[in-house]
Amino acid sequence: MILKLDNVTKTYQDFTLRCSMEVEEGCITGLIGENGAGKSTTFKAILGLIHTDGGNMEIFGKRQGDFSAKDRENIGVVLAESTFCSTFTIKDTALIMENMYGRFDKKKFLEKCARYELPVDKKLREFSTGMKAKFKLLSAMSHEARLLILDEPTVGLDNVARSEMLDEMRQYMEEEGRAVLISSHISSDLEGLCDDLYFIRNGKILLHEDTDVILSDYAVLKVSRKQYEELDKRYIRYRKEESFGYRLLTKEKQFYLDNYPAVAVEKGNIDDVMLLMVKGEKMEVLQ
Amino acid sequence: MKVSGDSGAKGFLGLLVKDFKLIVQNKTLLAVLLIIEVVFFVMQGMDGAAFVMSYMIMGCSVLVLSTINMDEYDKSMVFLMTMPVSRKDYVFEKYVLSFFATLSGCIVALIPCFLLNPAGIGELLVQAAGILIVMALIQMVALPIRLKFGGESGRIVFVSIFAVFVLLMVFVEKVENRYAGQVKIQDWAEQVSVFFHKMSAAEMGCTAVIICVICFAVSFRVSKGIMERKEF
Repeated sequence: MILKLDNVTKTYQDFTLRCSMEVEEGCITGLIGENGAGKSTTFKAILGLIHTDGGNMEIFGKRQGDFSAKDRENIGVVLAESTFCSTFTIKDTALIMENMYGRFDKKKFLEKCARYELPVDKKLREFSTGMKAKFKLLSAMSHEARLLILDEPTVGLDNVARSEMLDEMRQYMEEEGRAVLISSHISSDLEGLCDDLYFIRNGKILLHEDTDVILSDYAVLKVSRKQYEELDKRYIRYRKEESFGYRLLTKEKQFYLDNYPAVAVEKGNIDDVMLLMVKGEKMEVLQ
Repeated sequence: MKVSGDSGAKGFLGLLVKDFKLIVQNKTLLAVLLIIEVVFFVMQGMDGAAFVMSYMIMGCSVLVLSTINMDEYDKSMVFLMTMPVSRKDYVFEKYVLSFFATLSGCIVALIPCFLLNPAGIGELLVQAAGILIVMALIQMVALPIRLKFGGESGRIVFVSIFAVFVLLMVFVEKVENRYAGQVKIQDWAEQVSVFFHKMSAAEMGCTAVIICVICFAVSFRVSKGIMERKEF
């Protein structure tokens, strides 16, 4: 286990995070949720940027009090709103990282920056959002970290650049013993990248599922009110009223495909799952 | 996660490199410091030496404080705290940087003095040591204030502390004038002054070093506490 959070809590005036999650070695784990759901607070708790109020946390098998500054060499980070001071150039940051991380490969890093057309002598504040996103991701992957913690790493990237950066991440994961925890608003990124997903809302984890299971077993049923009355609702997880009747979320796609051929069954995706879990009404599900 | 205070030695070096880069970027202030030094020496010769030394040392202290501003600029401090450095490392590095920056400022000020009057350098070194100690004590107050209150509020708090200090001095003088003969503050001050004057240069140097070490220990502990309580 690379990362384990056991009931980690953090209370603010109007928000409480109560989070349990695990990131396994060799896995890319996604953390999804609306704005203000607790994604950034979770990341900050993991990175020691905030003081938690309770719970246990382990990174690389080390408990929180035993985790030293040096151990952080094994963590690569992308934060949505922060990176190196924007008056630095890429060359400056390379020099700093060279003196900060034992396994930083300056030559390789500068080569990668050149490959992705990042100007090494230009100040970061003059970078476009896309350039900054590329730089942040390349720096996080530049020092052979075992765990990448990526908060919205693809924001601002165009389709081509996004695809390139996702490939970089996949390539990074080819090495054994590594793991990634990533959050993103772009669900297609997560669907194509993550092995499993956590859905967080109001500071609580509402769902943990393998991405493959979401894509293969989850479905959205669109039913009229009459169809709804006749429907076996044992496997309906969330319900949302619509003008045509109801939109329903189920994990038993095949059951409804087999037994209700007249019902419109749409293949599940992250957006649908999220939308129904946020906007819909929770139903009692037969376990 | 509370990260233990164990130092990442490499991380510490990285912090020093980062701050050196930030200081070098502050070309305007560096240029102003050097121009004023040259102008003073041209206009006043050796008479301006003490002023130039104080000015250069103070300028270098300000440069160190400005690195904290830059760390906080566009939230880069948050990212910095995810790197292999503990909060204790961060604070300690600022003190180490202050020491070397002020010492460098002093040396830069002493070079023209040495060129203009090599024979008088001994006396100037004693003067420089005195100025360095006073500036170090000021920096030991300024650093925790800066870390606690940030740039703008920090300046206000710092000025307020000095204002309170000055007011206290005025108050003491008034009390002494009003109760002349009963309260002998001036006598006490004179006794302290005589006590120090009776000391040999070596004794005085040792006392100054001990005072500085105690002040550093207190200031560092306070700064570390402030930094460790911070959330980003």
